Amino acid sequence: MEIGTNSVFTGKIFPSRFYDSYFVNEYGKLESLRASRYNTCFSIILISVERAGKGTPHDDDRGEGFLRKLASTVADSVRNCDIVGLADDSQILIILPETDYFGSLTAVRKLTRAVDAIGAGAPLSAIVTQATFPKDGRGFGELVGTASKRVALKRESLWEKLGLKDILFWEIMGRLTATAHSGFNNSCFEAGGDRELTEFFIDQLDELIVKEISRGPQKRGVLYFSSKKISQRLPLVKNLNACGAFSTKVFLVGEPEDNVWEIRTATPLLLDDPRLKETFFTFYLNEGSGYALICKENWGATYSCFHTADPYLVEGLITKFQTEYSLQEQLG
Amino acid sequence: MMDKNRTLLALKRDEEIKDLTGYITGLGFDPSVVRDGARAIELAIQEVPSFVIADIDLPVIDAERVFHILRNNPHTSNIPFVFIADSVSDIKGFRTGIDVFLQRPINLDELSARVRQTLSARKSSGPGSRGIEGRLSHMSLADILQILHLNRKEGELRVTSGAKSGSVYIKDGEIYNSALEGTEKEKALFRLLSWDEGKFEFIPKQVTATKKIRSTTGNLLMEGMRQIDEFRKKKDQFPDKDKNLKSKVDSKTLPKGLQPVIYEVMQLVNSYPKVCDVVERSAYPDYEVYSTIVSMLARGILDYGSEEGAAAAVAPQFLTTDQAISIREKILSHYTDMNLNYGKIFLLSTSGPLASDFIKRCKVIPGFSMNTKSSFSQIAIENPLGEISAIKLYGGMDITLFSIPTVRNMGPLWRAFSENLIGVVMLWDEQGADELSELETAKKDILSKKRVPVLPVFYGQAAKGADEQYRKALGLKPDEPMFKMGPSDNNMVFEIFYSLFSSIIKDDYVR
Repeated sequence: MEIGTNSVFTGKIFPSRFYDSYFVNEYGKLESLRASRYNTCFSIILISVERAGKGTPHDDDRGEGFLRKLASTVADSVRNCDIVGLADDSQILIILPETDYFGSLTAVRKLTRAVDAIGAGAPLSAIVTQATFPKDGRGFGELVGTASKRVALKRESLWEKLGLKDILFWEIMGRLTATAHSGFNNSCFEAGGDRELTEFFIDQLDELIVKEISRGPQKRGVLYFSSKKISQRLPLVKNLNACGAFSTKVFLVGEPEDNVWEIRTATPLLLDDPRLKETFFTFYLNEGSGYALICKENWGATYSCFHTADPYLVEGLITKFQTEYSLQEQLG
Repeated sequence: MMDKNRTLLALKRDEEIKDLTGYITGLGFDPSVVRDGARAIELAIQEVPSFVIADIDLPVIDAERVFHILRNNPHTSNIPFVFIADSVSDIKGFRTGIDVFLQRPINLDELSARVRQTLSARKSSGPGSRGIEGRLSHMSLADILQILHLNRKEGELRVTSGAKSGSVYIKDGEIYNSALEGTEKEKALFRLLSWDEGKFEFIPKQVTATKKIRSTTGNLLMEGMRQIDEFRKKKDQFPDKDKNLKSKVDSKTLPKGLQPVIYEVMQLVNSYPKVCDVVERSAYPDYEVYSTIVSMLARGILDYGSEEGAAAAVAPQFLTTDQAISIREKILSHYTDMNLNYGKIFLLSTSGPLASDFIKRCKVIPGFSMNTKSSFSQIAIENPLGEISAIKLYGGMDITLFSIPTVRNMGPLWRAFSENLIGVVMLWDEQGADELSELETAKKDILSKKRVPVLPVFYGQAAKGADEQYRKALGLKPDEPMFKMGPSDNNMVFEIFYSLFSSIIKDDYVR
């Protein structure tokens, strides 16, 4: 079967388990029909390789060498049940059967690490994105379209633009709060003191997230909330207690104040880090969106805040935080 | 409960209706006839027939969609369907052995045989067939719940008394949730526990409801029975349900750290003066709300108000069931995540008090409730942020009003929380006219992500020529409506929501 489904080009790049675009597309169409019939989900991952300036990635030996290494690494990194192949000249497509949104995010993480380890080197670069059936599209073509759009969005994300993946977590936090951002996706504001926005506004934002969780309790997600002191009296904890059961995983980060182990709706992460005393954050990521709020306390109980709706930045921040504090790597 | 003889015929052809009605009646069934999908859903939910015969091409909502909706409703999920079509078609979720597909011309004998086969198969293996049934006069609800708890059962306990019907969802013997009309959790359960007359039926099935009741079953029943006893004892001391209340103190002056029910009652009294409205809309059990009102009256925090308000509070008709079903269907068809049973309306305003006032005016809408649960209740009133209220539509769908700041640096908020967005309401007054550019920028950015209807609402009487200016500043097309809300124009909110809903139904807004 593989002989028939490997074209000369794909065969040249990687000899086995690497299919041509015709096979991948046909398989994807069948997979979407299967998922729709049995009411299950599946995901796709798109790895887009680009060359800065003109030309395609395999214009020279270096580009083709990179593609070959990439194909071999990807084929080695995925599960046996996953289908890997070329989407077009410069894109690798992976079909992950029976994989939901968060499962595909974990696969994206794993693949991103594997791709980074190869080291594309300028002018080549690789962006990894995903899409999940049925949330991101009802047909296979729609899913590929969503994943392709996400390549452009990810490229525009601050995470990629500022090259934050190579910087330490607290350095990123410092950079984000120190630079003035004024876009619709990433923005800064000042609160507390005589400012128009009071410090309660920050608490209101956290409450807004809790309300969003309680509105769709079955929706999966992850929320990291840091505070100087973790206690049962935190407004966020009180609000979570009133929510009933929910699927979002909530983590409270900071030093304990009272018997934090009695908090049942969230998992306390007890970190004794002086930086957590002057900068606190909220990272919220779910299947539909992401939101992060970072507040740096200044003199006189005023706060310099940065907030973003860029899911790639939120996901990146969560990944960095988990990696640098040796936390269990989990998303939702 | 399912009526064994009742059947539903959802057909559009007159000759088929005539033939099948006569034939089905002859078989000993009692058929109800409808000609469109919306009406079929309504009647199926009301009557729970033993089976449904449906033409695949029904007007308004097609038979396949009707089938999916009824299958998602726990009350109607077991009803077998007989589909009639001109040609073979693939129906998602078709249950072989339960549902029947017949191609025209219909052979009536075949129809009869297939229906009998389906009904007998269901009778012998249906999930409800091994349930427990009985009368509350023979066994109280508390006793049944204890038995189910001790045996670690999973399923739905349906309780019916007269026209009222409620459910308790049990998993592993623990009470997960309870629902009775518009109420849920402990409030609904304690109301059900107080019923002495009626029928109960336990249906063993998988419970997918989220666990909303946290107490253990033992504690819950003890507390419920205590509250019912106390309620009966103190009934004469509680205020009459038709009396009006008013607050005598400013809610800002209430000290912090009081019981949350006190803040909620205070909020509700400010919006709904009638005692019965406060009790109905509060999330706390009836006894707790009544006791709180009595103690607040005794402490001089509340007082009885004038009776005129009570007559004025009679709510006019808002939406017919058919309209509500169509709106619900349209909203659900826009979102792939069908599990999220709500639609969000963004409230963009040039000032917090405007949004606050708009919400207050909305309270005349039937099914409208304010979300008073906030740790910062006073700030939430003056400068509302996030979900501040909801309108309950038919079928448990909520339309939530979500206040969001419009200044540019709050862009991440409207981008991150725009999931399930179905509309935008923009509010401004003469003082806020200078900030129209901010409203317009926010509107543009929101619409660039998701195309939804936008309703501009101006507060006050615009000076001559100002209308055009506002339209231009907001980038409105000549055929787009612009509403004007006078100081006592409370009924204008109906027009605003009618316009929004009709835009949702009429136009094909894409995700």
